[in-house]
Amino acid sequence: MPNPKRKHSKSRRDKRRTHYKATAPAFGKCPNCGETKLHHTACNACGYYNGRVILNSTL
Amino acid sequence: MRHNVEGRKLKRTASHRRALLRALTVSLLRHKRIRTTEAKAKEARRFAEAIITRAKNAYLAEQAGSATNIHARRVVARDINDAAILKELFSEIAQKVAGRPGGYTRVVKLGQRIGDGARVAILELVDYNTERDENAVRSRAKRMMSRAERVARSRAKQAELEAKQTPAVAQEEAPAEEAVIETTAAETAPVADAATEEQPTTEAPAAETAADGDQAKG
Repeated sequence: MPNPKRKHSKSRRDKRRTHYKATAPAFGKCPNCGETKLHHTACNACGYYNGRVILNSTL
Repeated sequence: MRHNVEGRKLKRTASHRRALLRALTVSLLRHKRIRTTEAKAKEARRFAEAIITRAKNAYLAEQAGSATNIHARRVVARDINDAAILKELFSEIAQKVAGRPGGYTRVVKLGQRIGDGARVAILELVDYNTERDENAVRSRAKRMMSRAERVARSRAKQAELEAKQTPAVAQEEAPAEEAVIETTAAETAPVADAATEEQPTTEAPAAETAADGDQAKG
């Protein structure tokens, strides 16, 4: 089996990793209470999604 | 290879998975809304909708005069291991969903759980969550209208700004001694007047004449 001749240096490893980047999630405003919330997700502050109460004390 | 095989395995064996989906469906029918992980909610939705449809069709046929559909009840009873829920499904729930061509359930995402970071969602029967606050949702028409309004408003504002700016520039340049600049100002002024009427396209030539004048001077 062919094998690598040399170990990849830390420099090469780290250079490869310069393109590994975290991306921030997309946030939006809740149309009901104006709080910042995740898109396509019920609002954690007021429990509304698309004009409906989704979260309340029972769940 | 496992190409295009529908459904999630949920890291379970077939029997474990079947038991899970049955349990979730019974819970959904009992409580009308359940909170679970997004993946489980979406799988349970598939599983539950088929069962509800069977109950709905039996209910509709019985309403139309046919005999009680015992076969349908037995088929559903394989998955719904609870006599009371079975009865409710074929009466109240079936009645509520009777007018609906599928889509009896709704999955609403809730974000990530703190303990394990799993994405959580609520799975609920659409006909049991009827309160809806129209004020809390911007309708499509409203969004479209406001977008058009926004564009119109920004255009009007821009036109107003240009109308204010261009004559002022012409006045500043006019008293200058050098002939070249005077020609520039003279050229700009009429174009500027046109700009107030005709909008941004005429702005570019005006800027060009100004640049030409400067070059001639140099």
